[in-house]
Amino acid sequence: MPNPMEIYKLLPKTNCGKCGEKTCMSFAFKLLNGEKKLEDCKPLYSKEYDVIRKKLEELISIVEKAKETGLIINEELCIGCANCVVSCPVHVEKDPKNAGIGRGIEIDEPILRIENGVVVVINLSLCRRYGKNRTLCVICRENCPTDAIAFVEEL
Amino acid sequence: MRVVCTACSCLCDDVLVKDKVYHACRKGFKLIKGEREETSINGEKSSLEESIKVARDLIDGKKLLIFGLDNTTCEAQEVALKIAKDFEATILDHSFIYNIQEFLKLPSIKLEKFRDEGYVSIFWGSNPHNSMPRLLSRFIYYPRSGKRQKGYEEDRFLVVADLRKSETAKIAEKSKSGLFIKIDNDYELIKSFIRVIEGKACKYLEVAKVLKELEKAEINAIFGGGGLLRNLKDAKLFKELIEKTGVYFVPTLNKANHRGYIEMMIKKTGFLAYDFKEDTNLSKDKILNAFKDCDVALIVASDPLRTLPYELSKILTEKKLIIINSLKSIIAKITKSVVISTEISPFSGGSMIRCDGVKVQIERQSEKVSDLDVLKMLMEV
Ligand code: SF4
Ligand code: SF4
Ligand code: SF4
Repeated sequence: MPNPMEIYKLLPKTNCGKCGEKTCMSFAFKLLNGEKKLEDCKPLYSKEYDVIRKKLEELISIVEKAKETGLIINEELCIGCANCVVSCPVHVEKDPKNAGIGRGIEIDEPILRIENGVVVVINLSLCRRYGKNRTLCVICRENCPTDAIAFVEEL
Repeated sequence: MRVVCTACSCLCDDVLVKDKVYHACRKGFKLIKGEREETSINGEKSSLEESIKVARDLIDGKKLLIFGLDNTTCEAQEVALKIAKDFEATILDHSFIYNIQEFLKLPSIKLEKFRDEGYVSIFWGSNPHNSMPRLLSRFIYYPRSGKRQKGYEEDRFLVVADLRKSETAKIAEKSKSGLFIKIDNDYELIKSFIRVIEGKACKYLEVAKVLKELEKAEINAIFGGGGLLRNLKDAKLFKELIEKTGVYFVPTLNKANHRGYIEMMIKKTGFLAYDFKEDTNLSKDKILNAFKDCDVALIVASDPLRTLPYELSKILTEKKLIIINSLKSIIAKITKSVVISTEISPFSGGSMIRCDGVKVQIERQSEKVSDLDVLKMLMEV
């Protein structure tokens, strides 16, 4: 997941203000949390920024994808160890005989499931970080040995 | 269909193969969906019968070395041993680099029992993240099972003792219920445990905390990996540590049926590697010569170019080779050899011995020849 500094480094860094922000840095922050769009930075659309703009578009598409699911998995890093699946308290409650005791999760719509060797987000609505009684659960992320899990709102 | 994954010695029996492969880790998926080997002779596609015949002609009257085997079934290993006897061959797998016999005599525990009751797990020279990716989630740290219902933070304690901060060590270090001990000498760590028990000063101060945790439960275990089994010349001092702490020992050798091979060899020959021509143990110092002296090598379910030291694997590339394997291997790619493609073991049927000594049955789910079928054909042709 890109961080504001990575985004900032690619921006024109002229603080021209055309996006409505005082600095390119604050534009970078707002771009990441979705308050601004890439198109708001007019200078980026001149020819000299073509290559850089493409890079920025790639970075922003990662952010967009994360927003759809709320949780982003870096598949390249994931080894499918299932630490996240088994340690998730929701899975333990809903599938105590399988995921709860370490076996492959068998309920129909789990939050996470290992498919083709990597973890896939299936149904985030069950996750304790979302919905009415939300908590700041970080268990799956904390127990990932490869840092393959990130939460959008923490980025 | 439900299959047993045989990509490591966890032998996960909950893997589901449908439109996708469910529950297997990346390592398991690579085995189940990996690119299959093709039956060929010197790079040219051939029939099974033809390859078996040519292979048999290669073996007859030659000095044969049989290598690999720790990734195939117990039944295939038995036939390979019979071939070794009948053809006065030398037989070995990867265990010659370990000093494992004495370790297997230590009190051990079944993984399910540890899952239900175990508290402290000590991974010593072992990084299951690589070798057995689902070990922590299936049995050791994360399951809420039996007497361990409260979750890892209260009901488990994970210790990693290793030369480097492995991925497993990072988990232990991050967790409130874990500890990483960076070591540079296995003996010193053993001595540290013993010295603290005797009330003396020691090198690794963290062991005092580990010993405190051990007191909280009756079931605790050391999971010893290649790092430990390679480095210790004998198990004497380690045995003392086990006796003094009352912990169990489970070897975490990653090859799916490493334990099956070791148990068979110890039972049938008393040794891990054997030269049937000389009717004697093939000790570590004789391995290089055994490789050099053979005319033909029969490689079963292994890619020595990935797993053996270069000085040994290089010799193999200069020999006549018969390769019985399921997935594409480097050795088959770069050598002119007789290659016989077999079904991967999750579908081939048979049995394997899990790292903790439990025999796991694998249901046959395919008509394609198995390693066992090919080895039998090779004997009978
Ligand atoms: S944040 Fe908590 S509830 Fe949500 S998936 Fe991760 S472990 Fe489960
Ligand atoms: S804990 Fe991390 S590496 Fe393991 S399955 Fe989950 S995301 Fe993948
Ligand atoms: S842990 Fe081992 S046996 Fe289990 S799915 Fe992964 S590779 Fe297969």
